Amino acid sequence: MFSQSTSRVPSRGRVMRSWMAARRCWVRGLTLAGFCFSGAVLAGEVRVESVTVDGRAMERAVVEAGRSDGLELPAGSHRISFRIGPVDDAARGLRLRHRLQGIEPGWQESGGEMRLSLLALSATGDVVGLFESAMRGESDGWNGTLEDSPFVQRRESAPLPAGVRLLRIVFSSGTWDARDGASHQALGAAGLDDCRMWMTNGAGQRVDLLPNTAFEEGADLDGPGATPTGLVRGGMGPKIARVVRVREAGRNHVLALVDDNPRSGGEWRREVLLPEDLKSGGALWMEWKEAYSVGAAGGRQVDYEWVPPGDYVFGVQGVTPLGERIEAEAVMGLHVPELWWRSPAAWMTGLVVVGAGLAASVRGWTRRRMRRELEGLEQERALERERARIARDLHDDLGTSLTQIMHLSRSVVSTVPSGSPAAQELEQIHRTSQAMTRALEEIVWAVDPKHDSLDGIANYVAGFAQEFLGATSISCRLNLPVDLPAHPVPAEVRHHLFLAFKEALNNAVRHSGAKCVTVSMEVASDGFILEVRDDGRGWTETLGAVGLEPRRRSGQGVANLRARLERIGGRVEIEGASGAGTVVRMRVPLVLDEGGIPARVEGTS
Amino acid sequence: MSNPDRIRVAIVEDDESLRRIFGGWMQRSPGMEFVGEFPDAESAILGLGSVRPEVVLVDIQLPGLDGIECVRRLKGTLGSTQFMMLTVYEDADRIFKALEAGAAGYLLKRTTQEELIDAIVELRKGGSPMTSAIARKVVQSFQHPAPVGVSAEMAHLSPREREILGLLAQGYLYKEIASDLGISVPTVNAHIRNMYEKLQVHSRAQAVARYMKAG
Repeated sequence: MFSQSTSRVPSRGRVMRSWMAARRCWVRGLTLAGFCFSGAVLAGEVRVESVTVDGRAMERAVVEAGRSDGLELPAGSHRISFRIGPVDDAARGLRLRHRLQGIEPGWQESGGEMRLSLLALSATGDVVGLFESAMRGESDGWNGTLEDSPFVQRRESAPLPAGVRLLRIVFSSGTWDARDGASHQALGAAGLDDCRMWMTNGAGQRVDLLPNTAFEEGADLDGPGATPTGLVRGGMGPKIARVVRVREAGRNHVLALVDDNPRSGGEWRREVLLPEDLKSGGALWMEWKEAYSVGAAGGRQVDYEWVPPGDYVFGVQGVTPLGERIEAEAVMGLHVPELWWRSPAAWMTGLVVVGAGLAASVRGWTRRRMRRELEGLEQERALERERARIARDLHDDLGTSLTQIMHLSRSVVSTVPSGSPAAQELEQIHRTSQAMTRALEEIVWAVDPKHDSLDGIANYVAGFAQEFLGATSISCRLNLPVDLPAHPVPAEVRHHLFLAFKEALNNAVRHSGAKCVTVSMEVASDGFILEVRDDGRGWTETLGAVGLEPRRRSGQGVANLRARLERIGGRVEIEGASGAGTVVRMRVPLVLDEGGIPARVEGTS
Repeated sequence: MSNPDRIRVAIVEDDESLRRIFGGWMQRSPGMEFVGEFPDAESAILGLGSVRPEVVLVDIQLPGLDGIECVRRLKGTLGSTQFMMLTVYEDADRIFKALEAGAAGYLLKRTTQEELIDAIVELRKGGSPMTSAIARKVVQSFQHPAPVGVSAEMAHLSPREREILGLLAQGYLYKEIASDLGISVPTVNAHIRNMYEKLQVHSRAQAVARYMKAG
């Protein structure tokens, strides 16, 4: 990977060489039938209309000249969205499925689903329990039609809700959804057979609840109005709910939904009244066999949140509304090169161990070094994903183990004589692990990109101030806007700001003799202000003139505070008058560039 | 033989060592009867019904179904049981989701034995912890219109609830709120529990609405 070439700075040379090598490597290409990239990849009836990488639409320029066999993306992990759709009106009724080979083993379908749901109702008709199983895409072994496909066994269990009198089983297609106010335009065929339901009562006995489990009893089962005994048809398109005769050995009639109309839905229902003297503490079991192929027609966007470096083939396939495959498939190749700094495993180990500090500095470092060479590349995204992973690892593994050490060292202390050296040492272990637990919380918060927002800062500052001041006799007042703009704040900024905030809070508690500390946050067009105000003696009195002859300890604190803010391009203002309290105002600039990504805050270190 | 004065408690925690530590604390507490421990949501969903606990500690992060989903599924079936989430660190988003699902409070895993026992007793007595960060989330949530199917009285916060929520968001302690508003601390707790209930109704209405529509 790293070949012979010279450069001024070894690490920078490595960046360039590795990147160039990756570009050279992408010559083998992918031989793809029916592929052409002219804004759209199409094959017969379905196509990839556009590709968006990390929020930016890909233009032809990114496809290297003379090569139409694939799309080369910048190094590192990406968020990739494909817009897929039918080629023309004739293909509009087709269901679309997609697959990113290298990430997904099989075809995926989104946009439509059928459901088998179980509602538990009380005597007054209130819903006291709800269970649902969604049918999306294809069941295992789907063979193109319901008649020819194998049925797959399913089993689910749930506690029996208190006060339940009636169970309603609903097998439905195209339900209106209150959450998004839209109709799920499910298309497809689904079958249900051998549907059993039973409960185990408090004494552990099994009580079967459903008769006619195989749907072989009923009126006119092979006719157009077929209705198995005990079932009711419903929905806008009653013809959707049917009984189908299948060919699988040992199976005859199955309960089916055959839906080829995206604007209509249908359902089968059945209700079971439970005995009145039902004891609580039982469980409900449901077992059934199912086969299905369900999806939706029309163009849509397919998002992949995290595509790591590698070679991929994205494909779109057309399927008839009822699940038969047709020879319509569009494919496009993708190559995502490895990020230079990711390859040596040692780097990652180092990154994990040093955690937040290193993440912040690698961020700054990679930014400065790679800027000229890799202008426009989106390492930030990749780094963000790495940060999420580091945060998760720190949280899950280290966090839990540390908590264990903390609790165990406390509980074992009672087994040794009090006041003995062992007891003192155990106490020391306890205190250290407790301090580490808290330090880890801070690191996890700073590293985790999901807190990269003003709201994340406000929540953390609120929690910290409440806990910190809660241990003193000083009241805590917070003046934090409830609605903060959804403005990303880089981890580096949050990290330094939080340490500065701790310093300010600490000073207020230690030196001011305050009764009340108020923390405020205010957002302006060019940034935001975090303010810590106390009603104590005033720092100027405690410190002498700030910046001239500070007492060592607090003076060091103020210097740290200033340095922290300078590192993130901000500044700190300290106002204080003798007896009138102190205000520490931390100003942090944040500017949006046109891409919606915060402008980089220049470091001075 | 179960003693009606003792609080029946259970725990759902995948880490065996922490489960033993917390379980041991509850077992040794004279005011409590430790009735069950489960390593995951699936076994808790099946097993909790028969042990009828009054308070269940649920790890927010579990393998398989997570603690939030565990509470959501159990809340409807174990009517009088209170759920307290266990979390490694104070992540306002996840804690809020758990509260919406039906939890009544949360504890950090670094909590001490005394704090844990106190919190359980407090919860059973009607206490409802709400920090400033959670109060901000509740305010944000009530700024959206209530979902279809929520009754008028559950759709909005009452003026008194809004007042209490505002003070909580500003960092006031329960006793400060009580003395500012001239009410008792248990009354403050009752208002907060009521707010949590409204949140739960909203989140539940969203899930149920689509079935009622079809009927």
